[in-house]
Amino acid sequence: MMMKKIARIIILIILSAFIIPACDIVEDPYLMRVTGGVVPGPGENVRKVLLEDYTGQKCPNCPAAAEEAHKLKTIYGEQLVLLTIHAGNYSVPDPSGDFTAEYRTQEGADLNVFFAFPGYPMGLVNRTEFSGSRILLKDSWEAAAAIQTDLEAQVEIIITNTYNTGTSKLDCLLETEFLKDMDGTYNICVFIVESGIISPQETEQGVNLTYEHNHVLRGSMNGTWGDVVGTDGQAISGSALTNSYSYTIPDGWNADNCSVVAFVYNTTTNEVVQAEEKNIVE
Amino acid sequence: MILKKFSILILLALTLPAYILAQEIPGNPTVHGNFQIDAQTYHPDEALGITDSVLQGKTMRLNGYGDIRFSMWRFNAGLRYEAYLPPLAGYDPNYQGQGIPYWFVEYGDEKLQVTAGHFYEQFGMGMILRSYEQWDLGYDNSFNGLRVKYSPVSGLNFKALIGVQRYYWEPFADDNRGIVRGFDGELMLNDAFNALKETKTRVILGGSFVSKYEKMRTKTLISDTVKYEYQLPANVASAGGRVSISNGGFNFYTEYTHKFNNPSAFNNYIYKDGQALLSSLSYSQKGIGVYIAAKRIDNMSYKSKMTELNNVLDINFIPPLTKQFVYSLENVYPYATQLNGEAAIQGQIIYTIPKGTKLGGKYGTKLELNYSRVHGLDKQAIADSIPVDSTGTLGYKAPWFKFGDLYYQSISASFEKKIGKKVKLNIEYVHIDYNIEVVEGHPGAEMVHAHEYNIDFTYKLSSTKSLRLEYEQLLTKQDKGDWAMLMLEYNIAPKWFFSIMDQYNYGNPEKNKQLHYYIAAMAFVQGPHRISLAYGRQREGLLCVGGVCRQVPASNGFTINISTSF
Repeated sequence: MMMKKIARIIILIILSAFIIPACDIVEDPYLMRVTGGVVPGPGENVRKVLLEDYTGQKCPNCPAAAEEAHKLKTIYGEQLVLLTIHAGNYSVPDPSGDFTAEYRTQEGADLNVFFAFPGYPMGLVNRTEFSGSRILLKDSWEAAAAIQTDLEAQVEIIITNTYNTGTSKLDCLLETEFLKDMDGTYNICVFIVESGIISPQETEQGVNLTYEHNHVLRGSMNGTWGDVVGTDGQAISGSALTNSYSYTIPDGWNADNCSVVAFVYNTTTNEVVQAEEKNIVE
Repeated sequence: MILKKFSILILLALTLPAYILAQEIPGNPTVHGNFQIDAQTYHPDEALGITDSVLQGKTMRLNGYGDIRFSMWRFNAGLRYEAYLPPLAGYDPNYQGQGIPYWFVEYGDEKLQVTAGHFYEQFGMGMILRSYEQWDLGYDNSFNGLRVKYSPVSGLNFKALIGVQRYYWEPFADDNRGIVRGFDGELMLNDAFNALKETKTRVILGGSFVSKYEKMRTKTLISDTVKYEYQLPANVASAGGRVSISNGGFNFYTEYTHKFNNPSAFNNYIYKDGQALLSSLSYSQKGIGVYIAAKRIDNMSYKSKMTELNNVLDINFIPPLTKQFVYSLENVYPYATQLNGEAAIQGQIIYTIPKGTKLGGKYGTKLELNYSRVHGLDKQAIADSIPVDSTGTLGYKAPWFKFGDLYYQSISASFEKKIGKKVKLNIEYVHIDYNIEVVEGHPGAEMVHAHEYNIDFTYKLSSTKSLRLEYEQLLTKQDKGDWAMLMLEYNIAPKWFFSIMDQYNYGNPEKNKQLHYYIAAMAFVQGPHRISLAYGRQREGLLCVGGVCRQVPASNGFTINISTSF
């Protein structure tokens, strides 16, 4: 009889042990400052957002936009991927003088025509509409980025770069996994950007001869609009798809400051669903 | 897939009784069920603002269900089919669809009972956990999981459950809502201890623990160009205790629930703990009943999905301390429980003046008085620089014995008397103060002060035929102004019923809204079967049951209700 009672009590204690610890007490501070964006836990993915800053070396208002992009980069860190695209009248180099550097690219020119920017600087945040417009003044970037970075990650992109310093040949392997089924077809664009380029820039205060140009679009490994993800661009949950490219880094580019920027977008809406960046030389 | 398998099992179980009966196998197999179909047509009505574009072609809507229970020996099973094609106006449109949202199998004896599938459960008064279904509200927060009830010795009962709650028709997948775990113990002292068996004072003690696990998604806040991430608890728990003491006609009950940090969309993501205390004392004996109760709740919305704001996925239920009125115009201003904080008291006396006395007359006279008052909490800032209810903070301080704005007050008195063999009279007066700004969420709206008078007169024409006349008047200078209602009802017991009714908003400050809401209705009853038909206008307003409300839009059309049970 006694044994039976003891057995019952033990069973109850074991049962309650399953339930009692089920409470998480959060201590102040309840809000943690996020520097460098949200860092994904093991096996987790976060939404990484592409911010395109359309600019020109002869555009006096453009450095303020670059500053805004830099500020957002300090807030979001790896969660924000920057692309500085020199396009339009302000980017045309002069035959002589301060502005002889050529930062224009065929891809930048195509995008400039496609999105039809009314002026510079202008930006795109994930090529998605914010408050009724896809083309955004720099003052809207922060709010648009806040929305986009809070979205659930739908795609994971893993970039693996193999760079041969002797031949300057870059082999890039892209593994893309859709985390859920999605309508439409998807392309992946693989661009090369370079940072730390010192050359003149027009500013509101006059020409800055030692201006540092960062995240400058230098070229593409698969054209302006990229290639379909995998073989057909279908977004089927769990499917791991690969794309691979080779590219020779031209003389004059500093490979140590170059990185590969890849992003996946919906070919109907043009909206970017995931972006990723990886240095060429680790 | 699993649902399909269980449905087949249950259908098999339902066809078994005939076979079993034929074989005369003991076990007393029984099948019960009930069905209900509520359908309505919707017609454009310019005066009510209902146009073809409002109706969007949905001119006929239907809610219906069939509920079947089977029991044999120590085994129970059941299922409920539901259809909302599309849901009647005023019901959550997310319910559109049809299927079997509820099925269960259950086995047990006096000691142990196990339920698999869907079930409803309540711990104490429900302030920590209650799942229930209310057809009129379109409310269903049933659990789908496992439940064990265990009674090791006489007077001691335990319940443990785990499950996910109904979320319209959405199956549980991809962590789209939380998992609820609960444990409850109840000790009936007089049954558990022999020495107390004969004691007149009966004492019941109870305690519960409930926890919700939900996969937390990243939630961020941008403030002054700085990005913050909320530290969200994946496991949110609450614990509670209760005592019931009764002696003769007296009954005292008190229950306290403490909920730990539960930032959610409902409370603007504040981290304050929630608290709820409800106490009541009642006395009743032949001819008299007295009830007083007090309640204080603070930050007590507890849902199994952090981001949910609709009337779904509630883990708990806060009982109202306001009277549920019966007459139409009394319910123009019903009270909806304010889960983010309220303090309430209620007092009620029901007295029957005995038969044969001067005031009681030949049949006795029933008098009822009720008083309810609800205030908000006195919410104070936790620091000078942090406004009340600021997200990502403790939200506010609320001293226990300080109260905020008046939310609701009602005083009602009713008099019910049978005069001779043929006449029955019920007269009722209600005064309501209603904070429409808070209860219905109309910013800046003035507090409504309303007087409501009812006369309900029944005249028996013969042993089966009766005529009932109901006159109601609501007087107020606020909101939609004065109303009057007249209803005439003719009953031919037990089969037929006819009525005509008009509610007239003659005092509406907007002349074009001084409308008549007329309804003609009839019903036919035969045993358990009931068919009723009605045509007319329905006024817009809140429909509340137990302080849980839904908004009913104005409509114009035919209604048919069919119900039966076996």
